Amino acid sequence: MANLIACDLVTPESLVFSGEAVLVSAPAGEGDIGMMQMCSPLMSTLRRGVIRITGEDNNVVTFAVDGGYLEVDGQKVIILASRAVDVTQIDKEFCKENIAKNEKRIAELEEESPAKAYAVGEIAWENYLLTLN
Amino acid sequence: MPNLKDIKKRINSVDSIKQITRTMEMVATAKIRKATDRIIEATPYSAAMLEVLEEVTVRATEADSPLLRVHPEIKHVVVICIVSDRGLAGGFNYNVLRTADRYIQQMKAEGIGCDVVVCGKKGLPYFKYRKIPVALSFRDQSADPKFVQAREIGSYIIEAYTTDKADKAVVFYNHTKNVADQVPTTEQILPVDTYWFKDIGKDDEDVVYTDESAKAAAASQKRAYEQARGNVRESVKDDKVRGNFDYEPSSAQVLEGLIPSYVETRIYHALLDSAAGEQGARRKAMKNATDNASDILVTLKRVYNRVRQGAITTEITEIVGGAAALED
Repeated sequence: MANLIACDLVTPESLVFSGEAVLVSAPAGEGDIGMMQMCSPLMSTLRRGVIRITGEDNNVVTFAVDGGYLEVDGQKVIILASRAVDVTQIDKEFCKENIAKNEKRIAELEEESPAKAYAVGEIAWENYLLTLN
Repeated sequence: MPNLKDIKKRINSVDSIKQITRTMEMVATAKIRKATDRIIEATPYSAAMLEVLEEVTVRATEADSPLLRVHPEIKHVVVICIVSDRGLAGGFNYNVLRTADRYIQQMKAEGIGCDVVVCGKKGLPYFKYRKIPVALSFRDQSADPKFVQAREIGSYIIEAYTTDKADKAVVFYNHTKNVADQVPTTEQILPVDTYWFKDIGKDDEDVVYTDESAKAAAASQKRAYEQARGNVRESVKDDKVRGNFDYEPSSAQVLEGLIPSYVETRIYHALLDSAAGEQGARRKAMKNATDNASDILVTLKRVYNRVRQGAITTEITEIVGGAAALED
């Protein structure tokens, strides 16, 4: 039996993935990392990127994440993502709609404001999702 | 003496009101379940975040995050008020708005300015009538709050706090004690109180709460977090295995990013808590309305029967009187 590491991927709205994996690879702040059982304890920031979770039977599940944090202690990986989407379930039409909606919002907002910065961030995230899959 | 037609009309009208209130009660009952499920779904993130924060704050100090630093003088406060978009929920909105209003008046009396952020349509006319300007408002999201809303509020207050435009941020909302009870609660969001993630397992006698409701809300949330944290740590049997963590890029930088996320999470939880409370309050209000309508119906039907009987008696008396006059 392979040595497995427990993995939880959580977003503020729900628990996206919970299970055991042989290997978890994640886009950490200073470069991509892979985590297996008994790896040294690490706490890191996450960049926008793709998390790959390889299960015991070698099937891989992938999630796109928009930054966050991860904690690994050799037995368990906890990934706190600000948002996560299963790569196989990205709805391109929905992404395009969101981009159009946020572009309209930016045009309406004249001054530099948190709302405008937020809309710019949303467009960047949707554009990133469109590059995947 | 009211006439029969009028009473019948009134009975029909009360009956249709009763049907509406009963339907609303059933709809609210169904929605409570959905709202409480969302709180449960959001708990693992909060629990995991507390877990990470607990580790980081051991190594980082207050100097590492501007959001942990307490401003020496309070000149401006951001007041976040979470109410509902719709009425017919008893005193749900009014209790929170009144508590927030009192707080704002108290701050004004002390010469402290307030920026008001309102979530929920019902708060806007309240503050407009009292000529209190609203800096940021959200509508049509109270029953189904999204994390993006919490993120937008979070970025607003964090920007205000870090640029010294605000020295404190407080949230007013209804905490769902259980499905029947909602407690108006006041929580300090900024500066972040490290108690939450540093001393979660310790006795909370030394912690100063804004009021009793905040203490009760904190206790029940703490229980939920502890339970979820138990699940998070389930696979880690021995804490000694955890060892010393390496930080990428550094503990201070991890903390710098984590604290804003923590602030957003707390706001999101307040929004979810309030959404569940709204449905609970509406169910209770509609149940009372249905019960009252039933009582009115009983009274009206009694009056109706009495009037009908009176009319019949009068008619018979007239017939008998008429017949007796003819016999004479």
